[in-house]
Amino acid sequence: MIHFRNVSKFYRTRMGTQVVLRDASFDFDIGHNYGILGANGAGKSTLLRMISGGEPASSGKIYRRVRVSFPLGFSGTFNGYLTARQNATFMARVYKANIRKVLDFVWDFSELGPYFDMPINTYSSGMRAKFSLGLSFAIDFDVYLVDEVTEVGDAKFRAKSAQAFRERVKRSDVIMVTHNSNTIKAYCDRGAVLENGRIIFYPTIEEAIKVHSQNMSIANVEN
Amino acid sequence: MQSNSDKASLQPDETLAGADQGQTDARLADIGELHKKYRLTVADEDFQAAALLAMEIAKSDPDNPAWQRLASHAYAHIKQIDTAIEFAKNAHKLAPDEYSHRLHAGALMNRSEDFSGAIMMLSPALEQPNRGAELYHQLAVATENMGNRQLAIEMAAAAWERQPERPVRGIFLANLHARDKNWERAIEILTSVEKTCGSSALIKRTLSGYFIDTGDEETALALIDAALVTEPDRADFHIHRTGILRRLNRLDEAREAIEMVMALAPNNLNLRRQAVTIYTESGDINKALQNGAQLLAMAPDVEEYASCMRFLLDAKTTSELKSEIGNIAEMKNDGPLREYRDPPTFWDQAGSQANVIGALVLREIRARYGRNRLGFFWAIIGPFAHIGVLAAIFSLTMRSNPPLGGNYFFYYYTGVIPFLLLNQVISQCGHAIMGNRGLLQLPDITPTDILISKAIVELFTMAIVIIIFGLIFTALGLPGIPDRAGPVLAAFAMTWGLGLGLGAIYASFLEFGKLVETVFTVLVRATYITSGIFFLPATVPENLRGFLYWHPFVHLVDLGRAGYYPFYDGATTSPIYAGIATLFVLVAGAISLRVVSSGMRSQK
Repeated sequence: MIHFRNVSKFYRTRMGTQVVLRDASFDFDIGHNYGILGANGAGKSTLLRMISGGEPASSGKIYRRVRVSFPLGFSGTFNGYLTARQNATFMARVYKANIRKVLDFVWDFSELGPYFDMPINTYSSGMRAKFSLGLSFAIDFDVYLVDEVTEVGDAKFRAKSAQAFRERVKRSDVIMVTHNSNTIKAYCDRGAVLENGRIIFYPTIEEAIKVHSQNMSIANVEN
Repeated sequence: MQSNSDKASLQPDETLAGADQGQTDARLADIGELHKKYRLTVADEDFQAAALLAMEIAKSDPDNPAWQRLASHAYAHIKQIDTAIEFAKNAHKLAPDEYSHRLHAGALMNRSEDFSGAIMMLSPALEQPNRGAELYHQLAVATENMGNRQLAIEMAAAAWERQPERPVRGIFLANLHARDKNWERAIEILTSVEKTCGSSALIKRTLSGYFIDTGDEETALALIDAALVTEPDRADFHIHRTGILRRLNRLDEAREAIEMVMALAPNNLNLRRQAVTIYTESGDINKALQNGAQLLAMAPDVEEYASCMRFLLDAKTTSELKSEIGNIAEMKNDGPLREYRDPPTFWDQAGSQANVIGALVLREIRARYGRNRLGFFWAIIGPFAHIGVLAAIFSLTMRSNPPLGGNYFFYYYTGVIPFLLLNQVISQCGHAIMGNRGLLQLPDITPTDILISKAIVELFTMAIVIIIFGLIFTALGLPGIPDRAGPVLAAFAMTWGLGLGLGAIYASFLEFGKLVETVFTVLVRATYITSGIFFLPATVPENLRGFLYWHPFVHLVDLGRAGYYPFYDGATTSPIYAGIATLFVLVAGAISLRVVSSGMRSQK
């Protein structure tokens, strides 16, 4: 569903040039959930943004033949002077979703009450997170991208968002980047390990986790 | 081996007796006295004091090897092996041919893990006729630890051959063979040990271990059961037995057995550790966690217990998550898979872009004018004040008519409004990306979409401002509705296009730094003064006019005025030049935006 062809990605930091991918070609197939593992600074989040289309490749081509979500809970598109209703309407328009349905879902999910019609820069960070999570689930994507599952709200809300996520995952695929191997093991059936500009895919998530933890322990010994 | 050395270190009394008889020298009368004291302290089991006394004796008569041996044993007994070795070496130096000194020193070196030293000390003793099994045993220990297993096996075999009646000799040899993965030979040796010395629980336990390694768990189980008959309280035997049951996958029995033994010895860490393993394997993570937590509470410093807990907690979360979520892969197989979307055609893309621009325009209008009703009011009052101030100043100072018509306010209106449109579009588009980088995380939204939507909002705003002004002028009897709408509309459209193109260039260069902000501010101010808002370009002296006419906006202001003033034709300006220049700027803007657009998406 998502195809990388000879993709390289570099970016410059104060520490020198960081390599995320070096001339890499690979595919994500429909019907599978992928967990991407990698050490801190290997570029997992950058890779996820490349998959979403939010980050360009330095060279090579990325083809998306499905509708890919923005990373779950991403709130960078919000205009703080607009209300939750207005921001949600905008996103529904961009993704050509049914505005009524999106608004109903987000209203119901986010539990903002009267704040739903207040500018979102009056929100607490928790309210903002609930809203952005609700908006992510409200739009029907083919693939959901998850960057570091963040827990929002109280136990009841967490259960609700897990439930909503499960509902989505039944019909859509997931590409997940996280340190929490439990979540990855629970949701993903395939795995990949990103290291030193190379990404290697494994047919099962368990294999990927094993290789990753070996990588990590080798890295520790070298340190 | 450990127990052998312990026994050896209990010997000082016997050696002492021998040394005592050999000690007849009268010049050291008080040594006898010290020695008596020494024997008393040993009898009282005050071994620390005994060691100090032995040292005193050895120091006061340094030439007698027997006293050196005595001190060595005393120190070995209180586990100060290094000191013990010093005295053993002294004894050996004083009587280099004495076999027992060599053996004693070598055994001590083995205990302090100086194996190469032990080999150097012990090997010469192999020449001595009175060499015994213990020498071979110690050499076997040293060579095994130096990595030479074959030699170690030879040595241990020699020790066993010399003392076949001692089971430890056979068990040690068998262990060496087992380490060499030669379990058959190990089993053979132990069976023969059993025959010669009679069976013991230890032999059965060891044999059981070998049978596990050969894969014969049933025999192993029978053997450990037999061992437990004679020694039912050995926790390590029980751990071994439950381990076999685990291997046989008889987890329920293993569980029962370990629980029974644990009830008898609740403080045994190793038992509990084994219980954790068994609970984990039988899938009872909660029980495993309970016992793991108890282990950690009893021995908080053991890193292995901590990592065991980490593993268990991890496993618990996974299993809970999995039971909560269910099998995702199965759920997916239930429904139809998603289908590939066809690559978008040109019209798809155009439609999608129009859709996105529409959404952006609505969002922008909401953000700018939606939050308070005054927003739009100011959009009208601003230009009104601007024109009013200009008109007041010039009508008071010039004391004559404006260059065209008779109304200063209307004259400046026809110049200032196009300028404001140009200025607003440039600055709104120029800063559009800076303030909306988050939007670019959505691949459906391009920088061009954002710029166009900003420009459209400016267009709407200014159109409404013009309509309102037009209505007011008409009500006052001024030509609010232009005489010739064509030139006015053309000028308006081209001004908008020029602003959009310049705004795109502005936004592109802004990616490289703030310098472009200064450049554009200066250019826009120069435009304000030179573009004919205050004067008619035709009235400018010829030599300056050529220079002014490079600026397309000069032509556009003039074109608009030609629409409002029926008797003015703007003969010296060229709308065609302005049109071509606008197109050129638009193309340049589009190209520059394209060049930097992928960089705009990168997270800064």
